[in-house]
Formats: sequence, structure tokens, C-alpha cells
Amino acid sequence: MKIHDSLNGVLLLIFALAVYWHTRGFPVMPGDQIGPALFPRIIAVGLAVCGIALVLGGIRRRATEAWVEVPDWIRSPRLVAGFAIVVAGLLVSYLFFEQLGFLVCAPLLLAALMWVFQVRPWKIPLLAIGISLLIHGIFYKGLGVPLPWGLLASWAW
Amino acid sequence: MEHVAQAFALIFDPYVLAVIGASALYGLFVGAIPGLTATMATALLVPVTFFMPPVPAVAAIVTATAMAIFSGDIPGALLRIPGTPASAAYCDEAYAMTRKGQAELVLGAGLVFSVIGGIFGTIVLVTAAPSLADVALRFSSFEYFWLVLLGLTCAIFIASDNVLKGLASLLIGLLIATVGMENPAAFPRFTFDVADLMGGVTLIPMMVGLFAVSEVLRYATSVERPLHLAQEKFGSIFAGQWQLVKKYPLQALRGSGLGTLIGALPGAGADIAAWMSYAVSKKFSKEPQKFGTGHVEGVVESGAANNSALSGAWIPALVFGIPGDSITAIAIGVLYMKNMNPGPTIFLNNPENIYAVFIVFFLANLLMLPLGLLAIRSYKQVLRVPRAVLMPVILVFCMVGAFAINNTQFDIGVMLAFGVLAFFLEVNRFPVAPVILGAVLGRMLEENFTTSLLNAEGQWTTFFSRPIAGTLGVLTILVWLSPIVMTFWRRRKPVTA
Repeated sequence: MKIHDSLNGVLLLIFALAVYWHTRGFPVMPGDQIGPALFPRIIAVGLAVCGIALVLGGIRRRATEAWVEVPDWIRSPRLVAGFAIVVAGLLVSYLFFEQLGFLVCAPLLLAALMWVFQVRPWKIPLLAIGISLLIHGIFYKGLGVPLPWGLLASWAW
Repeated sequence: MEHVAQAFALIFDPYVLAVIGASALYGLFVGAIPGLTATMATALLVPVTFFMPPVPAVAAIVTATAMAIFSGDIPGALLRIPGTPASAAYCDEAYAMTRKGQAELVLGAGLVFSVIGGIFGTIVLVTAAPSLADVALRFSSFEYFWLVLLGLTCAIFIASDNVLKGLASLLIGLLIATVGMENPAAFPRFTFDVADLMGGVTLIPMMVGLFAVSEVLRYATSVERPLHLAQEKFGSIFAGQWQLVKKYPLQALRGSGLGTLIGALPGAGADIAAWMSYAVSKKFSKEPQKFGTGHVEGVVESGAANNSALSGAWIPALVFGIPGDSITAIAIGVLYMKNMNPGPTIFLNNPENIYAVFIVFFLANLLMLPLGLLAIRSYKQVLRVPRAVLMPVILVFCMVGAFAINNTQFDIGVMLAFGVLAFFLEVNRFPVAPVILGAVLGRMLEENFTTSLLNAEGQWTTFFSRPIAGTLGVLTILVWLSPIVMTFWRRRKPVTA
């Protein structure tokens, strides 16, 4: 989603203010100007300057640019589903990777994405399971990454 | 000499050679697939190199990137889609040559002059890096402060078309580097009481998110077009290349030289080198009118430039720990992970490892000739790999890679956050490379800034009192002032158009 540069500037400005406000809680070194807050504050000021400059620059072009440009892919349910599955799949893995296990998360994510990317349906289960087992073999057995077993813990090999 | 012998022993080991061979094929494949970049190849390789000793780990990255930058030329010439951004500068030219029936000539030129550029850049790296390191040994926090600042400045002034947005990206990167307890006061900043953030944002999941997850998101939100190869079978690829070398020696040399220089500038990498070299080539050509109609001269010059930039980028990376482009930014993360901390002392502490890296550069560029030929000849088969299957597989690789660094699912969340961030930054035309440069260099900048500030005891002039620090400082300020000077310059100049 492309938004107008002035709006980008406003977002940056709000972000910069939030960062600066947050650094007020950082401790001050007695008798010294250099505390942990100094560097983030310089960055926050820089971001605020960028934000204001973007707002001002954007105002000059406000007539030629839309405030919010809705991208083409929003109109295609299939493309929206693709975006959503990537994000949702990783979100679920972030929250429940240990509980579900790699060999649950990976085949489901692969299958869902291949389905939305229009791989032939009969190929999907074969590819999703085969590829997951292959990657599991490489990382778990080959490189010793302790990929979680999760739901399949009692079948662990 | 003893170290050189040790270095050869480190490289000519069956395991290391196997790693080099496998990463070469991997790099060629990733570079040749439109939509997969050399930076992405590096980011995806890192989780695997995590489990290797230092030398094969670095060898894998060096080899894979060199191959990917070359093989990005193949889809440029045959599909008119650059395989990596570094091939974009001469993509139209190369495709025009293919349409004229000169596919062999342009693909051969891409390969041969990639090798020439790569070797040239490596020779400069091998000769310049150790002597620069001798100078750098005497650097204090003042020199490092200005050097990092100059590097970051170049990154936004040279590498991005919109300085303001480049600066915003850079500041976001610097801010990310402040997260955690790794600061002079050891105070947990921006951690919001999350234990996983105490050590800071882990770099590798962040890079995988920025450069790989964002690509998968872009693929997911675009309609896949069928790819039509302009030509499928090829005659001799090397026929006529010797004539090209004899006809354009100056162009090859100029491209390699400029490429190495631009690569060595922090922030500007192979893609900028190719664009600038193509422009230089056209400007100084005897037949500039032929450019754009399928003329090989610009391909020779910029094809050499992008590969030499890759080697050049390692000069500041190894000597100062300041990455020359986003690929070396990732590589620096690997060096730290492997306890091969970049900086001038690396040449004193691990000389055999550094010499081994140099040997890999030569080896990778020589290996490019036979393997590059193979990649061109089998390109039709490479394209048969369905991207609808490949992209989901890449995503699962990302997931495993992010998890594997700290064995924590928290890092999958970090990767997702940065993937989505990069996707929206790019849609709104904020460059992504400054984010990674800022994140990698943030701590170094703050540390040297704080140390310098303490040593200066309130005297700002101390920042300029040492000769090298003063020069770097003035240079940095000049670059910052350049947009203002340019504005005045344009106002004074009468409008001729």
C-alpha cells in the first residue's frame, strides 16, 4: 500500500516523538551529559527532521499524488490470500513453533502456499511432506538444529 | 609465507572444496532466477554457514555472491528481466543483442568480463587491504567515528535517489541497533521487558526478513507472467571473446577500476557500480550512438564493474568492519559469529584465515568460467523449476534459518516483522539497504561517538585535531553540504533547456 509522502512524514514524526518520549525513562549519569539516552535522542531528532521535510515536500505535490494508493493486488482474492498466508503462517510459527513442531508447521505452510500459488492439487501433499522431511533431515540430522517435534514428540526419530 | 602455506592447506581440503562447489551452483541458480537477488542468496546461506568453521563459511558467501552477480546477466539477455539488480543497468542492451542474434556474444562477454572484473577487484583487495590495515592500526575512536559516519553518509547520498528517504531508512537501522543492553551504560533500551530483546535484535533473522521474506511477499502479491526465452540453444559461447578483450581493453580496465572503487565505498555496491560504469562507457565511447541498440561495449564495461565491486566491497569490510554494500553487511555478521572480528587486527591475529579468503576470491572467479558456461547451457532447465513451489520452499528455509541462530521461535517473529517492514518500505520507495547498514554499524558508531565525546572533554575541535580524523570529518561535512551547494549552483546557472 503506497501512501502519500506527507502521510509517511507524519508517521515518521509520530514515531520520532514516541522514541524521544520513551528515552525520558533512561537513567542519567551523574555529572555527565552522555547517558544511554543521548544517542537514541539524536536519532529521534533526525527522524523528526526527516518527517517534517517529507510533510513539507509532499504538500507541494499533494495535487498530483493520491493520499492512499490502493495496490492492484488488493482486488485479486488470490493475491490477498497469498499475502495473508505468508504473514499468518509465520505468525503462527512465531507463537506456536515449539508446541506444534516443525513437521506440523512446515507441511501446512508449504501446502497452503502451493495451493494459493496454483500448484496442481494432486502434487501438493507429496511435495509439502517430501520437502518438509528433506529440510528436516538437512537441518535436524545434518546440522544438528534442535527443530521442535511439538505434537509429533511421541514419534520423534 | 608460512601463513600463505597454511591458507592453501585450509582451502584445498575436500570439505572446503565441496562447500565452494556447492555454493557456486547455488549462487548461479539463485542469480539466474528472476526475482531472487544475490543479497537474498547471501541471507539464505547464512543460517547454513552458521554450522561451518570460519573459512568454509566465508568461502561459501564469497563464491555464491560472485556467481549470482554473473548469472543475473543470463535472464537479462534472454528474458529482458535482470536476474539481480546488478544486471539491470545493461539488461536492455543485452536483450537487444540477443534479438540481433548475438546471444552467444553477449552471454560470453558477461561471463568473461565478470571474471576479469572479479580478478581485478581481488588483486586490489589483496594488495590494498593489508597496507590499509597498517594505517588503521593507529586509528583512535575519532577516526573510526568519522569513518563510520562518512560511510553511512555515502550510503544515503550515493546509493539512494531520494536522500531524505535514505536518511530515514538509515536512522531506523541505527535505532534498531540501540535495542538491548549492549551499550556503554549497559542499560536495557527499547526492550519493553522482553527477555529475547536484552541482547538486541538478532541480525540474521532481521536480514533474512529484510531480503528474503520481503521477496516472497512480493511474489505472492504479483501475477506471475509466463517467461519466454528469446533463444534456447547456443553455439560457442567463447567465440569472439578474445577479439572483444583486444578491442576493449581500456573499457574492461576502466569498468573494473571504477567498480572496485564504488564497491569499496561503503553503501554503494555492484548495482550502482554497473549503472555508473554503463554511463561512463557511453560518455567516453567512440560510438555512443550505438548504445541501446545492442552494442557490446557497455556490457563489457559494466559487466566487469559489477563483479569487481563485489571484491572491492570487502576492502572496508575486512579492514575497518564497515560494509561496502548489503552483501558484505551480512558477511560481517558472519565474521563476528565466527569470532573472526573484522578490523585491522584480523591481519595480525588470523592472517592464515584472511589469506584463505583471498585464495577463495581467485578460485571462485576462475571457477566461474566452466560453471558459468554450464549455467548458460542449462538455463532452459533452470527455468523449469516452478517458482510456485520454489517460493514456499524458500519461506520454510527462512523459518528454519531464523530459528536456528538462537534456537528460539521469537526470532521467527523478528524475521516476519522485518519482512513486512521491508515490503512496505519498498512500496513507499524507501531504500532497504541503509536499514541494514545502520543496524550493523549502529553500535560501532555509538561506541566511538561516546568514547570520542568523553576524550574530547567538551572540546568539539578535538574531533578534527588529528590529521586523518580531521580530513575524514571535513569530507563528511562536505558531502552533507553538497545538496545545498548543488541547489545554489542550479539557481545561478541560466536555464538552457
